[in-house]
Amino acid sequence: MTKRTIIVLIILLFGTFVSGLYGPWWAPSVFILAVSALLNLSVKQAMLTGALSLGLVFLGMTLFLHAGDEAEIISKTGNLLGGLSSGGMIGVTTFLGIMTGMLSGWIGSLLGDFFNKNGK
Amino acid sequence: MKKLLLPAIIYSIWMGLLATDLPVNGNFLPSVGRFLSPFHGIWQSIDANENSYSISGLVDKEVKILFDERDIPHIYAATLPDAIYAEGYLHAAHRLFAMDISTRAAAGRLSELIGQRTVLLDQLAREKGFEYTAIKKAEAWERDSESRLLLKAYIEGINTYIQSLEYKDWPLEYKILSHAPETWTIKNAALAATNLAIALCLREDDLSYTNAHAILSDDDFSFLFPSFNSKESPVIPSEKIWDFSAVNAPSTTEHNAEPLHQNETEDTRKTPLNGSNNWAVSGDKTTNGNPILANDPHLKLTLPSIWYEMEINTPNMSVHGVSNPGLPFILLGFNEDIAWGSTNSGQDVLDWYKITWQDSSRQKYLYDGEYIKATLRPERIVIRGTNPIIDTIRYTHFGPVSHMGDYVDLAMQWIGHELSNKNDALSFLNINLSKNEDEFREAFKTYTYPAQNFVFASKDKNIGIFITGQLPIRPDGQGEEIINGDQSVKNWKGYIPAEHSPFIQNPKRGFVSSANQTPADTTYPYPLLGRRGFEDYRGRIINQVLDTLTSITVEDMMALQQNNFSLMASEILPVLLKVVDSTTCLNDKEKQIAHQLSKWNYQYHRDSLSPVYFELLFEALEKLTWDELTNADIMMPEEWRLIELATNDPNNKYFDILKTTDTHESLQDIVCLAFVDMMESYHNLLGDRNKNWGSYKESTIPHIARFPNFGVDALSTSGGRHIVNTMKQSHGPSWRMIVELSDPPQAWVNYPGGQSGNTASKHFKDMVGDFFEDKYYQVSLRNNSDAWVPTRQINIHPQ
Repeated sequence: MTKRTIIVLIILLFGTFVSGLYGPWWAPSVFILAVSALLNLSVKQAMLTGALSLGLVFLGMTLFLHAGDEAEIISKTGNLLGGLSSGGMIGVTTFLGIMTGMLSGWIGSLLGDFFNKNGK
Repeated sequence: MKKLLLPAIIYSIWMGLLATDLPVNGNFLPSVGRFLSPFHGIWQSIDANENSYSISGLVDKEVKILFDERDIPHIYAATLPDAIYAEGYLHAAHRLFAMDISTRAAAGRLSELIGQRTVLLDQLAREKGFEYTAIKKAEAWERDSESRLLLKAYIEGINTYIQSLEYKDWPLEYKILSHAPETWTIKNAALAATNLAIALCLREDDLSYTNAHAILSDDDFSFLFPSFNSKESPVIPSEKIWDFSAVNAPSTTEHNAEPLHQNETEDTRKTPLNGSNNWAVSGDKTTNGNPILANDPHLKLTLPSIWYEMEINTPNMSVHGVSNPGLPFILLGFNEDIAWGSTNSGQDVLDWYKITWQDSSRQKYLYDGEYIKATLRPERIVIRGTNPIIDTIRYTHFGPVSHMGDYVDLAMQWIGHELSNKNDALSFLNINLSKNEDEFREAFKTYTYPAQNFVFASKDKNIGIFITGQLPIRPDGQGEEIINGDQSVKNWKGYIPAEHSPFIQNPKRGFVSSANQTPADTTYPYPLLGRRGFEDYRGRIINQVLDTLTSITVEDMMALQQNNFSLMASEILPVLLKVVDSTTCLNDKEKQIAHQLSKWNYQYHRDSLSPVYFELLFEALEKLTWDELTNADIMMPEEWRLIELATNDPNNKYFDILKTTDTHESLQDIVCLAFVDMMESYHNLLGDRNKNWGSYKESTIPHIARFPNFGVDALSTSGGRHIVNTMKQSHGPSWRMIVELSDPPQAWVNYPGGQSGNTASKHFKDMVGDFFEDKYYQVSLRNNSDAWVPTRQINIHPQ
């Protein structure tokens, strides 16, 4: 992983967390998309950092929140919605983060590429 | 550009999927993008957010809400509207989803949330006109300026909370159902009142009795379904002299019942018996000379509970008790001077009339020799995920017409419809403010329905019991069976005047009580219908215990609320055991169980196995005895009738088994067979159900929306039907209160639930364990906010 990739990852980790905290549910996706486009990341780099950042933020948040789930809300809800355990709910949430981050990075990278080419 | 197209489509589809509620096997998977977002969705529901905070609200002066260790809020407000605003805010903050789902049930709007699965329930609610009734009730409330002012304050309190919610703050159930909470209006409060009325005064057996009477001869019908149990111990004791004549009771009309056998559906049979116990003992019978009042209403138990405990303090009022979220004021409780509690009077206030239409268009119906146009009211049932259903409900002179399934068109005359235009909004406020018996009785002048037995005790040493709520006067012979609705003479003839309602104050016996038995004996000048709905074993036990007790303490009252003695078992079991004792029909195992039952103390304790045997034995006895009736799809007589028959007439024709044409069975043969059936049923019990009464009954308290695992399962509880501790599977005491009218009053309370409707809260079900261990919490009025330290606090500042 290059230094630039690591820096991008840190920006995305921070940005997705903040946008998630203060924005609507789709804000982290838009943030990844925008950063990938503005920094003109390669497709590979954007997909990797997008997936990693949102996946890690989602995983971290769910693990943190789950630790305080004394009433077992997550496992009860998972059970209600198709028999998922709390581990399954954490897995599905992280998977959604990874996929959303990856697709956001992908489309962001292609958009950056498109605007760069047309700009030139 | 082409390079962008495919990824853009894939990204859009992905985000679109995340933003869409997806139908899965008849349910809906909430849009997972926001639902599973750790910043917004279900993960944010883990923290119950029960901290201190301040808000600005529509109050004149600052309101303080202090919470005690059980999270009971104590409201301190300078004015009554401010206090009621705070009550509305608290109800919404702790019970919003429960308020929503119960009012939707009454309005027939569940399908908007749930989808196809609740369409039938919605159709039933619509055709019974509950929402229309609530609309008229809300209009009546709003016509009076004081009612309007207070109800508006209450609704504004609710809406202040609702408007403060972002998606991440929604109650968990809304997130799962992916539906935003709706703003409330006074109509919603009227729906909450209607919902309470549905639970308490919708029950009747007209269809069942009509069917039974259509098949049985008059003699057999009267024999099986007598209107009065001679052993009954009415609410108003016989010492009461009725020094008035009935007014407006017309002379006998034709007997209206006619053979009209209709298929009974689950809906017509299932209305539960929502009974209760209450009593008050005079200071002459208590150790320290203070009257003591006790009340435990029996209802379908859910989590969260139907009740929300709270205290309201204003300069003119200090009252503690339980409120019903969706409605303002305290419904059952005590203040500095009085205490009160209620039980369902069980009176039949619903009649069905057969409608004769002019033609198949069902636009005009026969009434006094003419065809009258019915009022048509269109109903649009919105169903989640599919097209709405448009239905038309027809209203006649009697009320709305049911026309579903196998019914002949029947018009429903119900007290709730008839009196929906009366303003009863402030009845409970006036009770909350009462300082003595006169004010308490005065408060009921505006009370309409459901009819209740209100028990009362005051610091000035008075006790009393009042059957309150309007009771219709019908033409003689009418009200228990379906009536032909073609003549106005068959309509109700007004209501029993309030001054003629059954009541008694300070009776000689030193106590008053009720347990849903008949309000008065046959000397009462007006006919009372509905007494067949409840057996009287609880009432008789309560009266026996209170009769014999002297120097009564609060602990005695607790013991009586938790009394597990089955009077019914004590009356029938010795008869059955004596019968089999003189035969050789039992095998060794059956003899062993008979012996065990003979040693039983008739206590329905959760650790005892004898109640299981007895219940299975009695169930078998009923089925074998009433085979003539079950074969003809007729309801069974009340249990006391079978007990009376077994005790006094063991060779009665009903003990003969239909299918054995060559022999004539007696009680003895039936009991022998019942033992065989009991053994078979016992061996067929699954899991731990054969261990003891608690595991056999396996009580549960389901979540209000029946979400699996969100309630409490597999509770081992004592008590049962016909027992003072009426804890059945998921129906039973919903609030226990004992108040000693000392100065100041002291109370001992508990209910099977918790204060919070938030499943993540530690107060969601924290009182359940203590409740079933028969523990109470001692409560006194905390009318000085500076005299105690709260666990948390909400301040409402004027905007």
